Amino acid sequence: MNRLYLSRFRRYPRFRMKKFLLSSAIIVLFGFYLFKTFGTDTKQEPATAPTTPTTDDSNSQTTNVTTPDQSTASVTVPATTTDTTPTATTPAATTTTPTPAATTPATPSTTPAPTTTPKAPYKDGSYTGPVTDAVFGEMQVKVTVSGGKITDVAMVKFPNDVANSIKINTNAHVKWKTETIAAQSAKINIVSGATESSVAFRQSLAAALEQAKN
Amino acid sequence: MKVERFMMGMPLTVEVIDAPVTQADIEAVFDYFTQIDERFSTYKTTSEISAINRGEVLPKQYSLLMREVFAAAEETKRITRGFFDMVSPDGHIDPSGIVKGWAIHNAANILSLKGFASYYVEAGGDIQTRGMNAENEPWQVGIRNPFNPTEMVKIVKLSGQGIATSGNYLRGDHIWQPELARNKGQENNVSDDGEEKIVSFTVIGPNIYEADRFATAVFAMGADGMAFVENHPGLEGYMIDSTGHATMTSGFEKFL
Repeated sequence: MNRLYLSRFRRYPRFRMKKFLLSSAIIVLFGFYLFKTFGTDTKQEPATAPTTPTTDDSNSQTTNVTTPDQSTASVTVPATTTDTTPTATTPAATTTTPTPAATTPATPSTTPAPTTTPKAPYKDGSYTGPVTDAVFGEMQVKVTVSGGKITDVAMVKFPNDVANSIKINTNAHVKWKTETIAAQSAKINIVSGATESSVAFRQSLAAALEQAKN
Repeated sequence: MKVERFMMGMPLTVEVIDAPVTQADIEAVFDYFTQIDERFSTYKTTSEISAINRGEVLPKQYSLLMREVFAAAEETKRITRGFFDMVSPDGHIDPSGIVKGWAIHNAANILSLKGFASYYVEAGGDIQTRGMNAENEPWQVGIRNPFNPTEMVKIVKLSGQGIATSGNYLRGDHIWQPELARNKGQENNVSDDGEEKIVSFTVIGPNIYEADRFATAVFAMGADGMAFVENHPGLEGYMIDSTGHATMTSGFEKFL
């Protein structure tokens, strides 16, 4: 730890206590604020948030995103799997056209997404708020809305550089179409798939190399 | 004109529809693959990668192509959070999971630079398509039935996209892993009685480099693989499990 940092604590013992109290208060208050404004489905004020482009899916939620006032930030979280630049998450896609008669009948995916509420409060996308001064450091929050619901709230910046992220767990962000596989008879030009001959070659090569070992 | 060869331990096929194509044009593609094989084959003791694995080459001496591939592998590892990793636990480096798609993509560009607009380049089931087939329609690509490799269970129409399929084809009680998932998550794809496991995962991407580098990683991710593909812009997936059910990402239907 930095000596200066420590010495400041020694010189002002009560400084540390105040810091923790204030930081905790900020977090708790912020949590309350988030819960109050985002946690329910009650009507929201229309947002002036930057609207991320959504697909032209007619079933996409027309969401009103509330932009919190300047004191807090409303943000979007990028796709959960990457930590690269945030991208807009696509709204929940519903199963669309039935498969043609020639192929297997499609089984629509089973779990209905909760995003079927007629008026979700948020527009899908990623929103990063401004960096705000939280007295003992900077604060910046990123929120992701997917399928009309908040799926992640992450603190991009946090006072004293303590990494923190609140994840709102939800699985029902997308409906995937499923089907039972069946042989297709239509003409094809090319085949995609792991090939037998490549495996056989490798197996053979491996066995040969085994023999070749000293 | 269509030419098939067996190289790098797998079948390679190049088909060009444009009328002015010559044998020499297609040979240029196979020559490129030969060079790639000579540099990146872990089966060749004389390859650069083998020398690197023997500790005979300092990083600053790596060729530009090797650096390019290593950088691509690092980026893919980061994006897939380690589900793709060209370095095995014992330190052995095998970049073939990146090289394959990367090389096919480069090979296809050779044909584009020559002015050809309708062709495909295929290596071991990974394909880069461009333009239209001989019937002036998108290329009809069949996805193999993992339970009966002579059958196709899905046909997709591609024109410009790349497609790669990772498989774990069950044959009786012998588990056949054509794409060795030596990294984390491989336990997701070893067959287990009473549990659905993924036996085949097809990734379609804007080109074969993108499709291929994620295909192996996504397969190892198990059920999370679908979410990864869904959330990754430009990728679509078709996953087949051990019960014979397939799941497709929300944009996959545009290829049907």
